Amino acid sequence: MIQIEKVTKTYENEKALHGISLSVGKGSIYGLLGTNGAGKTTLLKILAGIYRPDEGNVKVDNQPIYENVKLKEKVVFISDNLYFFPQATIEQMAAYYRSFYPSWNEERYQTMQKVFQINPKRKLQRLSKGMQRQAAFWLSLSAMPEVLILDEPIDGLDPVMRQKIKNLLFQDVADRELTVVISSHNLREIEDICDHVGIMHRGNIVVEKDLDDLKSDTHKIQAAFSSEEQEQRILEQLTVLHQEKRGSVLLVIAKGQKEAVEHIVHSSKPLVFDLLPLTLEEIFIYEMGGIGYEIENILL
Amino acid sequence: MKSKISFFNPGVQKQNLKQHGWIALVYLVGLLFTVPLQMVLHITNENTMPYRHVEHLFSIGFPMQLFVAFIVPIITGMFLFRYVQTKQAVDMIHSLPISRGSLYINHLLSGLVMLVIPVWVTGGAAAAVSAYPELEAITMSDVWIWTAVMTVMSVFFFCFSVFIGMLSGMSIAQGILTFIILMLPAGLFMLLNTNINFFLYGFPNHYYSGETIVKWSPIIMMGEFNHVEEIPLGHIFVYLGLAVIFALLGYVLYKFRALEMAGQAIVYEPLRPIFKYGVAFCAMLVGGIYFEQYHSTGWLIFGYVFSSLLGFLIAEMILQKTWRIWKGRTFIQYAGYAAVVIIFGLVLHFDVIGYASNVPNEDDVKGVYFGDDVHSLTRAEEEEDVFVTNQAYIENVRAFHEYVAQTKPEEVQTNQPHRFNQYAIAYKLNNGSTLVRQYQLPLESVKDQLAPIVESESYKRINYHVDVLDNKLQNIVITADGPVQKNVTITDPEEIQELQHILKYEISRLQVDDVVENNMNWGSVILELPLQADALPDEAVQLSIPWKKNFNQLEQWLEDNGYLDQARILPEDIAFMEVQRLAGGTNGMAYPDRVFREDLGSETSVQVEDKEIIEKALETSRTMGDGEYFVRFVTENDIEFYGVFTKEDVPEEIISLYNSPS
Repeated sequence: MIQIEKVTKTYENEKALHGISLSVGKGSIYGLLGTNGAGKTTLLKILAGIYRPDEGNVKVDNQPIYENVKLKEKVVFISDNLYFFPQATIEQMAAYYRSFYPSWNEERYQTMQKVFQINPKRKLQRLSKGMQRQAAFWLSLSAMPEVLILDEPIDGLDPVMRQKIKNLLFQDVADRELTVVISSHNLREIEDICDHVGIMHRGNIVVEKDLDDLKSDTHKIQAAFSSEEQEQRILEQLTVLHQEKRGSVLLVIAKGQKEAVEHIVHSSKPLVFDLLPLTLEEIFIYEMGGIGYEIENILL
Repeated sequence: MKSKISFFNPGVQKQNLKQHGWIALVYLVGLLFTVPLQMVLHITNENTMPYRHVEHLFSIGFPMQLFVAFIVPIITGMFLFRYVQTKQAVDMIHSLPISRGSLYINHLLSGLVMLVIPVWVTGGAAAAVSAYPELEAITMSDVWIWTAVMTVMSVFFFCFSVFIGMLSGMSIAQGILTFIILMLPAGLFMLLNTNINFFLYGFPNHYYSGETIVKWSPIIMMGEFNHVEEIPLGHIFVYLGLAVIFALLGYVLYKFRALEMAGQAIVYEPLRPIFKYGVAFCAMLVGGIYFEQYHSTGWLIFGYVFSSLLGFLIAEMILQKTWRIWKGRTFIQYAGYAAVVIIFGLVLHFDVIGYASNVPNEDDVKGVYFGDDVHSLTRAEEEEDVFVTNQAYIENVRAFHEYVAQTKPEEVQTNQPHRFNQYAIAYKLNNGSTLVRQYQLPLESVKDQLAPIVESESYKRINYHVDVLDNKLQNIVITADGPVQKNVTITDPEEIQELQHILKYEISRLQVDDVVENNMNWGSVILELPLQADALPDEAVQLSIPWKKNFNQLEQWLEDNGYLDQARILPEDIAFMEVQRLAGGTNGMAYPDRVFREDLGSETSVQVEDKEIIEKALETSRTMGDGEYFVRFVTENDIEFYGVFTKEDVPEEIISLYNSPS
């Protein structure tokens, strides 16, 4: 659905994107992670067709997005700095969006009032930041986009509203294969909704992963063995990302199919054996640790 | 379904109307108050404002009308395109499915509608008001012209503001830059003209009125609309064309604009140095003019350095958006600028192009003008009227010019009152071009060269209206100078003819000393030409000749015909006079009354009532000049006037007032 190929962008003398490439499949939720200044917002604005890339291509549905009106009718961008017209009410803003997005779904707009519980006659600039963000979701989802680009969307929402919005996104992804690109500087905030994650650092994607693969692929093993040889043998057989010893207990982060790992460990007759699930954060830390990045700083 | 071809976007239009519709209202109210309402006030107030001065609708409600007419369109451009200047709005608007072209055209269209409709409504209202019989001077065509001109100029100011908005990333910068650039043609001309005058010896800065340049400063051009008889519709058409060009340029710039530059003063990198050095240069010229008033080269240079540096740093601060710009690079750039300016300054100072020494060859000169200013050169409808082709005269003027160009006497300041020290020379060359020079020189330095010019018939013919004296005159009015009101009108044709003869004789006798002396006149002789067939009485042409105190024949004739007592002040009118001596005098720098009004250290005054001495004093005193003896005349009606005796002209009787032992 989305192809980003070797995109660079320079602001005056500062290079924000260094030939970045990534792709997002239809109906997936792509999480873009990175610290402030990593280039997430720039990438998203290019993806939304706001900025023109200096080099490279940004395609949605195999068409370049920049200045492509027909294509942009299917793409909605929610900025981290929301803008509404001065004095405009939600209703007036909805009328404005309605005039731009041919796929606007009025029925959905009316229904979603129940979800958000905000009076559409209220002026947007008088609303709190969190309520403004809810209104932005409300308007954007009513436009029935095929691609939804969200820049730091979770900020300022209370946990209940976060869950509501996540559910709305899941629903759209499931019902009509909505593609979502979502940026955040906090992995924990988006790990439960993304199926793909890319980590940006200084204008580059340093890691790009399918989260389902990652979770089924990496395991934390706690085991104790009767002899050193046994221990050595299983370490040789496993793809080890990280190992440490706490007393007699061996802690190993290893890659591989769950069954295969279990099989290897059991074959050495461990005294104690636990196969524990890893948090995404741990996975990244161990994965990236191997290539020498201070990933902890990036992930916060 | 929206048409693909149609650029009209109802959503944008509706939003613009909602958000910015107030502009149209403000414009409408502003125009209604400055034009139709002023017309109504004119009708109700006919006594206070005689109506015949109104030529057209631009004569009404000026300068407020002008102010509204350029401020509102510029502001409209700032408000409508604010969405490209604030980051949040930029992101939101440009993420919508609408092309930049369509956004531009729709915003432009909204602005045009908001500006044009108020103009047309105002035009309609003015048409309605002009139907009043009291406003017969305003015709329907005046209303049409006003409406057309205001439409075009509103559209131009708006389109230009939008164009600048596409170059700038800040609304404030957009407004300020728009105004500055609109003023720039005239402003820069004025600044350059004045500054070059400091450097080039003989540069006639008053000659270059910049009339052609001023019309490209539309605000200044429109500022003249209230006193021109006909609105220059040709220029207006050009501005219509320019409006279209700037609108198109704005479109192209918008297409290429890097939206992330919102918030920067200048969006396009290559324009930044132009902005920076341009501001430095203009600031430098302004500083030069300010510090030149102290007439010191040191202060002038200080003015240039200080103000160019200030301008440069301010421009740099605006571009960098911080005042912390104190990096080596900034000052190296300024040094580069300074080096270029110094080179140009030296080129001017050492006159590398030979400007000051350029005296045309006799063979190249077709005609010549010599006078004390260049106004008649710029005002003359036909140049033949001012240029004299007499060979001897050309040679005299050339000799004068040659002498000045070679000796280069130091120029004096203009502000010395009543001194004959300004000389303007113009040559009409055979190749069709004109060479003009202007000098302010102390009279003593060029008097020998001046004499053959001003004593020539050619000079007198122009400066003393000898041509007019050759022809039939309607009346001759002789008026007295000074505070005593006296005048006599000669209407008898025979007497007029006699007077014409006498005046021609007196003029032919004028020597250089008489010509340069402006302070020894009894009064003026005013020649009234016969009326043109269709002219009104107040349009009669009047020309004036000074009545010099040594026009003895004239005085004799006036006495013989019994006019003298009505024409000039006589000893009989004077009750007494008071004489004061101020050792060293005032160098001719002060009016004589100061000696009496202020304590400048003069000796005790002497009062004289002797009519003979008074007559002598009247005949020899000047209104202004360099001398030690000052006089105060008091008339029988208690009116005072003052005079001074120059060293060579002090009557014996007055010197003896001080020398006689008392």
